[in-house]
This record gives sequence, C-alpha cells and structure tokens, in this order.
Amino acid sequence: MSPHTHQSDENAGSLRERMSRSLDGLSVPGDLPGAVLTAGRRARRRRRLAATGGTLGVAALAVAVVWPLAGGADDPTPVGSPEGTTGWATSPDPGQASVPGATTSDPGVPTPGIPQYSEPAPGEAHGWWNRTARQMFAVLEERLPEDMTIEDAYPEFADQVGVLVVRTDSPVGRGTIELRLSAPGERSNDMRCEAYAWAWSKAERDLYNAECRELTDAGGEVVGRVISTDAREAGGQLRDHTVELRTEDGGIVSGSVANTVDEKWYPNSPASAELPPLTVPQIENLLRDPIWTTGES
Amino acid sequence: MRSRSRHDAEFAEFMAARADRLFRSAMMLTLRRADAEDLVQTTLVKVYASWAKVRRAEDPVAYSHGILHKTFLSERRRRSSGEVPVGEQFDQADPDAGDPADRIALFEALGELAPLDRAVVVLRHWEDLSVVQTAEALGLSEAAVKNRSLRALRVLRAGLDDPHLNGAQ
Repeated sequence: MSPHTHQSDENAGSLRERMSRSLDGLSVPGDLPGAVLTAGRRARRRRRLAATGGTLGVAALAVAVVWPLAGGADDPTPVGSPEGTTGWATSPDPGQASVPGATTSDPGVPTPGIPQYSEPAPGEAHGWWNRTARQMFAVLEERLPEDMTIEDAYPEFADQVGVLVVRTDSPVGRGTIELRLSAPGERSNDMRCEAYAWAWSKAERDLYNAECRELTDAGGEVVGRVISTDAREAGGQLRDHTVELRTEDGGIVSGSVANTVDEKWYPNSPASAELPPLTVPQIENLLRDPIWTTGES
Repeated sequence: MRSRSRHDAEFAEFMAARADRLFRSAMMLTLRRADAEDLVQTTLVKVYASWAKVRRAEDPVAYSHGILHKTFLSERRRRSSGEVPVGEQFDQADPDAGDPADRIALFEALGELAPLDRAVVVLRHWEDLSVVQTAEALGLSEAAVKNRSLRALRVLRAGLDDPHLNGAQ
C-alpha cells in the first residue's frame, strides 16, 4: 500500500504535471545560501545567548534565595547547570543511515574535505572537468559495449562543460546515460549515504524505492556511492542507477543510467526497456577510467 | 570548531539539495517571488538554527517543508496586507524557468484559493503527502483536508480549464 496517491490518481497526476511544467527550473537566487548561513549563525548565537542568559537568570534568582538558608556566600548551593544551555551543540548523531540498504560509515568521524557551499566553484579554472559534451561524447562512445549505439545526445548540453546526456539503444532496449564531471568544490563531495539521504524526503525515497550503497577505498574511507531506484513496487516503471566517485583532488565523476528515454526521470516515466542500459559494475568501470581525470581526450 | 564546520557542511549539503524545491513550494504558497525568497530564507534559517534536531528527524526533508508551511501560515496570520494581483506578480519571474504562460495560469488559479487551501494543495499534490500527513502538518482533521482539497481542486479545474481535475482529494 502506498501513501502516494498521485501514482494512481489521474487527477492529482494532472495537477502535479502542470505544477512541474510551470515551475521547472525555477531556482533560488544565487546569494540566498550565503545569506541563510550568515543569518542562521546569527540566529543560533542569539538563541544560545538567550538560553544562557535565561539559565543564569534562574540561577541568580535561586542563589539569592538559597544563600540565606545555606549560611552565606562561602557555601553557595550549586544551582542550574550550564550544560543545560548547550542544546545547540552539534554532537555527531550515532544514528543509522536512513536509506534502505545503506551501509554506514562512522558518522562520528568528520569527513575530511567537505567543501563549504559558499565556496566559489572553480568552474573557470582549467582542469579535467573542463570538457565539453562533445569531447565527453567521443570518450564515452569508445567505451560503450559493442552492441550499444548512441541514438542522439541532448543538444542543449552540446557546448556545456562537464555534462553529457545521451539516448542509447542495445539488446537490453533503449535508455538514457548521463555523465557529469564536477570540479573540486563545485558540489559537496561527502559521499556518505547519510548525506545523500538528506537530499530526499522519505516520501520520495519510498516513491522511487531508492537504495544507497557506499563505496570505500582500501583504507575504509567512503569515496563513492551507488544509488539505485526501482519504482515498480510503487506502481511506477522507472529503474535507474547512479554511481558517484570522488576523485583524488576532491572533484566528482558521476554517471546515471535509466530505462527511459524521457527527458525527466519520474517514477511514472514510461519505460523504454526492462533494465537500464548499463549495470552498476559497467558504470563503475566507465567512471574509473583515468581518462576522465587526466584531461586527455 | 570541528563540530561547527561539520554542522555547516552538512547543512550546506542539505540546502544545496533542497532549496530549489522549497522555493517552488514557496512560490505556489506566496504567489510572489520576493515573498517566496523571504519565506525560503526564513525557513532555512530556522532549519540551520535547529540543524542538530532536524538532522536527527526521521525525515529531515519533510521536517523542513513543515517549517515552510507553518511559517507561511503564521506569516499570513500576522500580516494584514493582502495579496498582490497576479498581473503584478510575475514581472521578476525567471523567464527561463518553466512555461511562463502555464505558470501565470496556475498562479492565477492558486490565487483564487484561501492560503490554507493552497497549503493543502501544495502538500497533497506537489509534495505528495497523504491525507493523514497533510492533516498532521497543518493541524487539521483528515475530513477537513479532504474537504479543502476537493473544494480547491474544483476552483483549480475552473481556473485552469482542466477537466481532469475533477475531485481528487
């Protein structure tokens, strides 16, 4: 039983599509994240001060009452604990990953190298990520299985840097492959499934039946993740895989495949094949090819 | 120091992933870009200030959307100013985003709804919450959610000239 009625509800689906069509691409202003962080820190300080001040006020009042009873200033009864005022401290949550099937790394260990959102992305700097869709196309085409052909590439990305979306055909059926090269600092490179889970609501995770698996290096550090969805249980048709790998310099190479040739991937996107065009190991092999990060194409 | 850095990094990741979605919900609630920006900023500041609590919630995304809706309805109660006619609302809308004609029609139709009905529509049909979840989020009974949803969809059907919107709850 699914709580998501829009799957089976034509009326709701129609309204939702209308909303999507109307709002697609609408984004917050670029300076909003910075403003939020600034205002948020200020708010947190204010709340901390208010909490501390409030407790001190109570403590002072209690001391004033207690002193005469306790015999004077030499024997002040401790009242109130400053520990009670530290509710805003962020101790790591020893909780579990909230994505079904996720493996967890120790969330108490700070992940090194997580960039601040407000850091400028070095998009202008030269690097392996500065590859146009046309260049990426040439690299991808050479590495696809022999029985797979590229039907077309999304033209709107042709001259963009670091993103390529193609429709493919193979004995598996038709599908879509999307590749992205992200410069260090452009996106958070925290590859833990926990970080991914925050980006999805529980409703979305249920709807897409999403699972996340962390990829670790020999030392056990989380350096990538695999996210797979299968919307069939919720009445949809979409199945897709996404593999994200953190590069040594902190960038990200990622690839997604889906069993639909629709531009947008929704749970109810019509399936063009039973399976996505590539398996997870095939995507991993493709992304681990050093050609993506050596700048040679 | 390390804790604060981690706090900020986690929150920044969350914000990067969810801000646009929150903004689109806010646009449908407020019907005005400037108000939507204010609403999202206020919401995210609240989420930031409570991040230690939010991150431990079973569903941090739903939690943040709950804050957005509560803030919207609370602002509506506090403000005495009415809404601006739809024609004046979209002069600053991003021309590259979505279909402008569709958006104007949608917002005109949403503008016909009472704020609480609009919130019901956004939660039920944009954020995919069930009747029970919507009722909990807005502090309404399930029957009230169904009634408001039916009424709202009737209005939207007329406004959008969409015969498919014929009574989903």
